[in-house]
Amino acid sequence: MQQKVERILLVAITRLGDMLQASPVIMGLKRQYPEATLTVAIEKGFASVCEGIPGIDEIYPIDLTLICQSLHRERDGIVDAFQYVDEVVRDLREKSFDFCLNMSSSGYTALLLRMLDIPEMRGWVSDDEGHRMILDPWAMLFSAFVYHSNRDFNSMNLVDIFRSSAGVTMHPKSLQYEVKDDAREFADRFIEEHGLLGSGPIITIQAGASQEKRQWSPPRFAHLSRLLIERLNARLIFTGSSSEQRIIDSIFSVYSHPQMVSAAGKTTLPELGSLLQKSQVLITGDTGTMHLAVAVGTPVVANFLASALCFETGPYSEGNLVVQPQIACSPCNPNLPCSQYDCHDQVPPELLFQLTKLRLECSTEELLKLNLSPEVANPASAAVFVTTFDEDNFLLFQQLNGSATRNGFPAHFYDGAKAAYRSLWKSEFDGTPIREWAEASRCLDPAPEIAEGIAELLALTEQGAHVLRRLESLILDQTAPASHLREVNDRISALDKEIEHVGLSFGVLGAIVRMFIMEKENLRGDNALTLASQVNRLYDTLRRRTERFSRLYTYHAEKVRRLGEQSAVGILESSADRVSSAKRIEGAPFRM
Amino acid sequence: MTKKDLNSEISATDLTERMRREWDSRVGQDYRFWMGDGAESDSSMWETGARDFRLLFPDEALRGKAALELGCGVGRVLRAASDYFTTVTGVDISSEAIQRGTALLADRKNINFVLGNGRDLVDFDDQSFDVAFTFAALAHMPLVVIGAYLRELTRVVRVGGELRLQLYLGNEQETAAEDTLAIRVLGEERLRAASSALGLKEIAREELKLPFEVSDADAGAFAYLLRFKRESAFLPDEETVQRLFLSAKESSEGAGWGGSPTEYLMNVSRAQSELDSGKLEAARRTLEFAVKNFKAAEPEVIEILSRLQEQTIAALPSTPRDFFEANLAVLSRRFPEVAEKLRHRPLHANLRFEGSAEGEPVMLWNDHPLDNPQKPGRAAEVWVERSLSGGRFEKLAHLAVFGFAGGFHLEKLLDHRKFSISVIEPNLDLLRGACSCRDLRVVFERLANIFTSVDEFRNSFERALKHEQMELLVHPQSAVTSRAALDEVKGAFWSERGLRELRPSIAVVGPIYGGTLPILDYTTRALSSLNQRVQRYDLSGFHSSYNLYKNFLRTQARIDLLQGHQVETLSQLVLEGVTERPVDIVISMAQAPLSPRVLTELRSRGIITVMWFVEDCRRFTGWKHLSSFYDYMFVIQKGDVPTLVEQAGAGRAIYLPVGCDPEIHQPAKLTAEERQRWGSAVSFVGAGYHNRQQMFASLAGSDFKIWGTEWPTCEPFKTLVQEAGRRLTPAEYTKIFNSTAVNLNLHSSVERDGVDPNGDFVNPRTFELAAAGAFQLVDERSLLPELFQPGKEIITFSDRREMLEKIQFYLAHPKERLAAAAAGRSRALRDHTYEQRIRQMLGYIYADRFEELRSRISQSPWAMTLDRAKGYPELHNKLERVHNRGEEPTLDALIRDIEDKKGNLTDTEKRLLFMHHIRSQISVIETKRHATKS
Repeated sequence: MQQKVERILLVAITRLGDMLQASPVIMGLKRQYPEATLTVAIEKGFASVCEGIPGIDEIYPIDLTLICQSLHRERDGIVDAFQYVDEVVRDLREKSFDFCLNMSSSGYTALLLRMLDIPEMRGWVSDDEGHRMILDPWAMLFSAFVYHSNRDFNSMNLVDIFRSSAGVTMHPKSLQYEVKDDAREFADRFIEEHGLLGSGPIITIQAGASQEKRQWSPPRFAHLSRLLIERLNARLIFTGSSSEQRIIDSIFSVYSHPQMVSAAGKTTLPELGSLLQKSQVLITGDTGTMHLAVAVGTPVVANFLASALCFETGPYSEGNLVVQPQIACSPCNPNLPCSQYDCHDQVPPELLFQLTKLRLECSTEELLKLNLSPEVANPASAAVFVTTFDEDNFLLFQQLNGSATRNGFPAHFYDGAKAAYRSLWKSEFDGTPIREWAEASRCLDPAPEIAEGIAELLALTEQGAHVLRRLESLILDQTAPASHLREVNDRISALDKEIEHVGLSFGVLGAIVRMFIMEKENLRGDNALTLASQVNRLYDTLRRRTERFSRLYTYHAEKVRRLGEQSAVGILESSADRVSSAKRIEGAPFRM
Repeated sequence: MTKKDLNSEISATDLTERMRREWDSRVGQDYRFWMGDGAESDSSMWETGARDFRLLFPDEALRGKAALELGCGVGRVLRAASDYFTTVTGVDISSEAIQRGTALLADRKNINFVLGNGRDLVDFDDQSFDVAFTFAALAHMPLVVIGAYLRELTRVVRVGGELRLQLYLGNEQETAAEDTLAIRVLGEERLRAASSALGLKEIAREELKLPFEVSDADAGAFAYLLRFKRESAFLPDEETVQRLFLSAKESSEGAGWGGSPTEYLMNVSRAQSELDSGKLEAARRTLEFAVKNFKAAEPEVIEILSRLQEQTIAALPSTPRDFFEANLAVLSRRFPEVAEKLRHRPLHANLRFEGSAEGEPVMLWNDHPLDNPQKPGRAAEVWVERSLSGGRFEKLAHLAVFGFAGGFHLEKLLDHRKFSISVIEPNLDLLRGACSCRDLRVVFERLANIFTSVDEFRNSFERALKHEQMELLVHPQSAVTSRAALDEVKGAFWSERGLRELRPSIAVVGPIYGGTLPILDYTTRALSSLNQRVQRYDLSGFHSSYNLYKNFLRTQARIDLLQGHQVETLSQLVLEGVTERPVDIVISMAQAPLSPRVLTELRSRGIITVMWFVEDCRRFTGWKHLSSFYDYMFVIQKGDVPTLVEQAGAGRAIYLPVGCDPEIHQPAKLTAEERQRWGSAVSFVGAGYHNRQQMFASLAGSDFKIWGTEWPTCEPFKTLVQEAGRRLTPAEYTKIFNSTAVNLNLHSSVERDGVDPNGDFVNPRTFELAAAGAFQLVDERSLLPELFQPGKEIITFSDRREMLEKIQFYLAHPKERLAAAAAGRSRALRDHTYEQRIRQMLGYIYADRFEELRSRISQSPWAMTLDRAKGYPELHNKLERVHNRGEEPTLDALIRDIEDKKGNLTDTEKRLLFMHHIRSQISVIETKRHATKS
């Protein structure tokens, strides 16, 4: 980042969760640039969220609804919308920001930033022709992991990616939200008025979720509630919006008890924050409420269903318990419908009860040392994690129930790749030393399951370097016929296509390949020679990353495999079916 | 400005028409003032002419030669010239001037007056004069015209001959191309470039000195007499010369042109001197002329005018005993021609007078009261108040009122005095009656003009009509008494203005299949080239599915049923289409699938429904049950057809023949190979109707080809019909037309043998063949002679024998053949293009519905959108561009344009794209907001 940063703009326009997830970045920026003022541009409806987030100097609400309503009115509404947009752009331009971070991947925020002419931009921006582009490698990486097949190999949390994108290292290890005094009183009053005072723990439950497929069913919540009340004498507060009351009604219709109270639709955001703060734990899916609980310092037991993936958007603080189903389609594509929520079946109410109980009874240190038996939490059905931070203060998910075969692949395949990528990207983008490199660098031969893909990719980078050398000499040679140049260019396009194919055939390499493609798309310039040397550098980078990944993977996978052998013997033996599938795996090439 | 720009802004014909119209009007006002150097009598005019001629020709070098004067006016200089030259020809753009000059100088046999065209001297051969000259004429023409004429003057003068020109040299001035009076000053450089390009050598130059100031030293404009000698026979092409006369200082003001400031100032100063010499009436007329023709007349001038008017009114004697005599006295002074028409006119027997509650009499025509029979004054007041409400009268210069009646409404209107008022009353008997029963002297004093025929009115106000300086009010009772004249006035008023200003959104709906299909394209193209906003509904793509039913069904009734359903579906498609992109007018072509239900719905939305029934109404009777759903039915037959169609319920039925599209129907150069494929001595293109089979069988064995569908597969057609009788495209049949010596055209008949003796309408083929420059033999049709002159522009036959004879004759006489084809083509292009047809069609509609469409369009949300967007010029331009294409200016349309464009986005485009992205994500946002709202 440039030396002098006086005015920072953060664009996180649309969601409660997004805004809360920006809070460590905001705090980190304020710590790194204490003199700078920080403005947040946010959709008007979410502006109130910002009021509780520390470090924000100015909130600039943008009324997207007004724009849409104007446009929906059609006719001269277009002029109203244009007028409004014009005013917004003028306003924001006048503030002459010198640094901005766009945490929203939407096309319009990228365009908005393009209209503001800010010297230093991170995250998504748009070029002058309106195409979206990403300038910094961390945001690019996030985009690479959006590709569905690449998600399986990511363990980087969104918060860390954005934070790194903005160059923030002095961040708090938790989301941030301040509950003001008046709201705090609300929680006390609420608890008293609803007769929830007593000896048992106060537990909040967020049953609703943004999509129905991410919403655990009411009978399951009812079952869980019964367990919590009968065995722990818990007092349960159900949160949600007024529209989510019907979900709560369904729960109550299966099981109800005087210690179960609904606060749905009865709280403002700060009031919800205070309720969460008052409770010992929140049981939830991947929701805005989850982030709010984390931000007010209340641990969560989070159930990541359907398209939700805890590594991406899991609770950003230490000591949260997270369940992630382990069936083939999990996490699923958020845009696809689902007619049978198999992933919900992987999480029995008993499991969530046990985890809640553990969270209530154990300290975070104790949790981190925990090893759950398959009887409590079968790793083949659902992985159970506790959150912590790694040496570089990146959020880390530590599995508590061993690990199991998934999609026909042994656990070490995914876990090894995640660990390898974690080290690789930190060293590639931030120059963080790879702590395990001393051992990993000795793994010269790639593990058999990735050997084929690695070999193909390395061969292609070598060809790439060769073709580029030819290209450079042709550019310098004035007498070279144009047809030669064309041939070489065709060859380069063909190579790139082959590289892309390797990324698709060997999903484990997808992120490396996707990064290469995006970096290549970002190349700009008119000088052929400069462009050629830039491309050459990209081939070199691709080769380096592939080689490093190969060694890191081989090292980590082996480590995971050995660990797994120790703890998973029991599980594999318990099922003849799984044994046979494990055998099948040995013979199968690791293409996916 | 490039030549192309200039052409697009101000076409040559526009210029010519303007020059002629304006000069005619000036000559009409006072030829001696405008063309006679301001002389008071003819004899003093001849004197100044002689003086100026001597300045041009002080020498004897050219005495006895043949000369041409450009811009001769009424012959002021010609008279003296005729003493000097053996023959002298005068050319002028004004037909009024030519007529008057011919009469004034009838005794001078060596003077030849020729009406010019404002462009060239096409009537004269190259090098046919010894000398050409111009005085106080060429210098007043638009620069492009000066250029064109300089080239032409050079062309008609022999090599070695002379050009003597009175021109202005010095600093070029800012002028409008539309100005037909302002002085054009040529820069030395321009003159030098032009003379050298034209091969002219300047041999003398002398500053022009007259008894009054002619040069304006302050402005740097100096009048000169210049003598050039033509040195070479070479002549550069027109474009080269034109280019030399393009100037940044002279540009077209287009619709913004509000009349010549020169003309205005000359009139005002003339009125001043008339006032000074006590000629009140003359001053008043001059001022009226000035104000009428100049948009930006100063308030002071209008003030003087109104004071003059009031003075005259104040001088009127008090209540007369005889209304008629008193009225006539004022009329004779103000409008002598009208007075003359009334003076000896007896009161018509159909007129009656009744007393009203207000005391003033009310006139009745055929027992129909022309004013409110109880309270004519009060009713008129209310009507005037209501009529003048609304913004459009605020900037008005002139108001035309149709109908004089008892003049009550005029009295009230004239009280406003913010604009001048003319009245049109085509029924002289009514005017005569009004003069007898009321004291109308003040009305006559205040009225700017009284027109007793539509033509008078049109000629007088042509320019004002075009420039929205004028509005029309129709006195309601008079509308009933003079229906036809009113239609004509409305046509004069609104047809052109409608085309230019209204620009409603028009949908054109074509048939699913059939011969009318190409006419959809021609109509659409014509609408576009008339700069109308058009949406085309080409439904021909549905033809294949329409045809599929018979693959599954055998019973025709079942097929009909399903095809009926499909028609209804397509009908609904059009309705949904105009819901998405609203229109003001729907034009459907014959056989278009629009059901009564949908037509009813369209009309209930205020959409004007129009059908062009380009089929034989006698054979295809679909119009009978559809007419009542159409506001306008245009038919290709006359006689009782329009009446029958109106009786069937059409709002109006009007004759409108089909035509040609010069873009498609044009002469084509074909390769030898193409000629081989498409050509023959005789050919026929069309479907195999009964009479055609019967008629053409006799041509078997000759070099005769038949092209088209539905021919029998037996002999001789098996041999004659080409390419398996497939359907041809318009481009293909144009090739056939162009490679055939004799194209036969026989109007189809399913009943008659040979030529249908009752045949009336003219088929599209006739126009298409003519426009293609192809020679055709066509059967006689009763409506043909008014479209093409038989024997010259078209060759016809009335029976088989005549057809065969004429085939033989024209095959043997290629020269005659070509002459007829050429004459036919030029007539088709002149009078029978689809563009002209559509112009007429819209002319009728706009004349009838101008007010309705104007208020509909001005209230349309899009007009408001465009207006509101004016604060953002780029946004406004983008919206307007979409709007002009006939689309709704929505964000989607703008985004499509942006997506089609390559390269960097402008700031406006970024904002629009931003809005577009927001809208496409809003539903997501809304859901999420709900989810988080606690």
